[in-house]
Amino acid sequence: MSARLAFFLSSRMLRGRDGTSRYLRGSVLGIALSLVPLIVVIEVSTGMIEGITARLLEVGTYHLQCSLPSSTSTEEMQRRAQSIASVPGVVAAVPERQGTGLLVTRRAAAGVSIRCVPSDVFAVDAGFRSHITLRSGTADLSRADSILVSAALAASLHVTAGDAISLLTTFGENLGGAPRLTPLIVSGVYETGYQELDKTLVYGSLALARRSLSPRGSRALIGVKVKDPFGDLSRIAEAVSAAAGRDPRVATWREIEYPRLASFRTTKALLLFIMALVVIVASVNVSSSVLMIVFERRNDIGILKSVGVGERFLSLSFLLTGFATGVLGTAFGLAAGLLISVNINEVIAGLEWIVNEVLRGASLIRSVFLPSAPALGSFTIFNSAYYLTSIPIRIDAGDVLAAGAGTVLLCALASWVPAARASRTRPLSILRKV
Amino acid sequence: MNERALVEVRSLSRRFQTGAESLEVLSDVNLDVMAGSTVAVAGESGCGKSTLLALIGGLDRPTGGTVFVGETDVTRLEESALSRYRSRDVGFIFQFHFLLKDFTALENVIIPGMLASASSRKLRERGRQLLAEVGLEKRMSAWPVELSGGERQRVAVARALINEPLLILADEPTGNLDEKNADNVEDMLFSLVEKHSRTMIVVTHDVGLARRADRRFLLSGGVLKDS
Repeated sequence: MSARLAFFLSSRMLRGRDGTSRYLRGSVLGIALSLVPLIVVIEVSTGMIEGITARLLEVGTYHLQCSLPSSTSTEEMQRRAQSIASVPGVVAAVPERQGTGLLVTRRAAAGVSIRCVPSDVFAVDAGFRSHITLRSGTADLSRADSILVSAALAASLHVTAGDAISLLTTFGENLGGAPRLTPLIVSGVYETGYQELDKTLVYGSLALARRSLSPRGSRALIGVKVKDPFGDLSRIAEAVSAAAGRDPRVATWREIEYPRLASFRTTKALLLFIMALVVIVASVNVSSSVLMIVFERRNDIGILKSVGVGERFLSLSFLLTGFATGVLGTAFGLAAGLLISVNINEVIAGLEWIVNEVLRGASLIRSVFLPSAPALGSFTIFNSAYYLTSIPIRIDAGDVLAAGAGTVLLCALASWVPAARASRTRPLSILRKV
Repeated sequence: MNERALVEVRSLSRRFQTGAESLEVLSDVNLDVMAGSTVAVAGESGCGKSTLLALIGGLDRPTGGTVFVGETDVTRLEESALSRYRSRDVGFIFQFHFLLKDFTALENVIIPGMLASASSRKLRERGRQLLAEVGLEKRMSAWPVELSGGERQRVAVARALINEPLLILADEPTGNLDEKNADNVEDMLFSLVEKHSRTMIVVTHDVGLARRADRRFLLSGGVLKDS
């Protein structure tokens, strides 16, 4: 019965006829606004990290890399790949030779990382296939002079599918070796969506590796894809190592990408910490609001105590008020945060459009008074050159619920001090002052 | 056979300390109030009448002495027990109505009842009945701000009776009302106390109100005298 009284008192404080509830409305708004950036950061960073990790895994590092002596022949690499492919849990084993070179056209040149893979890699490796998007041409690597160029590289080299291009590499047994110029045809232009991969990577066939990459100046490996890349890879790594024959060195994607993943984790943690500080500040505002209500309702507190409402239930009433403020603010904040998150690409594009239109207008006005002044540059919030071309959003219900529950808990805790103050109020001291 | 008093105040004193100054408002006060009787304590403003009532009602702690209500020494009760005592055993009526502005007349009446283990339906029924007894059957849903001074004080009387307390403590219950309203509230208060067989201590400087009580005392210089 008394708990019901606490709910009853709390609900009336929230709806307050005398205007004290305005403090709580402000706090609800504060909590909601503070949660929006936290939710957006959680969803965007989770989506970005997962998007980048998926591309790195499927197009970059493979799930496991089995490094072989660089002198290993292509036939030996293929034989070992077949052996690894038979290991339980392995879904694809791709022999690959990696090297570096210079792609040259009449108009430009660019340093590139060359990855020579079997011509049927698209058929063998479903993960690779799903993360490579052809912008033009075909993914045909069956010819020794075929090459797949990323969209970013194609733009900088001014080439498109079907164009001729030359690959300059060093070839020879001695250190440095002799330069070799290999004429090639761009069979296709692709994009992974992750600019760091797209900036320098070109794909050719293993036949191209024989022609252009010297064994000493290149790296031989077998890229392994497994059923569950996010599970424990230690056992399967051992099995792959055993199946690979002599001198293999097997590394998991976590080992290869450890610095990058640690950097992502640290950045995300720092961002969340900063955004959580905003929520903490907003919850302090709840404490201030409840304190103001305790102050403005000190007569009511005195009356309630005089009719026998105990300290515990008075405290509970104010705690419930803070809790309800937190619940309302959290509900609005989560809804707004999720709405912005799922539309983040459109929101960013819209903001960029508005700012750029303002800049364009400013340029026009300035050109009237300063005709020789250069036009104002364009404004970009999100530079995709360093990340993904668009922000992938993944709604993690666990993270969202944790953020919401944490906020509500903070609000309830923030109400503790004013609630305790209300319960300590001596009724007579209040009633005498009236 | 000696019948034991419902309220036994013994050697009660209350001293207020303000900086270096010490003011003794009550000094060695003794008072017996029999169950079912009404007692008036009169005296000039500031003589300590309200302090005496607050000490009996457990709103304040004495400097010395005891206050027994039934078998309970109110002065020795812990804070939680004191809250229960104020809820179950005492009904307060103050000079100012002290209604909660965010609650309707009916809700103000039943709030003390919500602390006891009464069912919601029964409680509301009793609240309606009490408001009807004080003549406010048509004003149950009104907010305090919509009620006149006399109506608010009648709501306060109904609130004091909701838990059927052993003791009604009325502190200048008509002190803030005009003569007509004061007479109405006075009549209604005494008739309800009699009808419900309650015990009442009323402090007042209104001689007319004091005369209606079974026994009258005068508080002067911190000392209580039979008048």
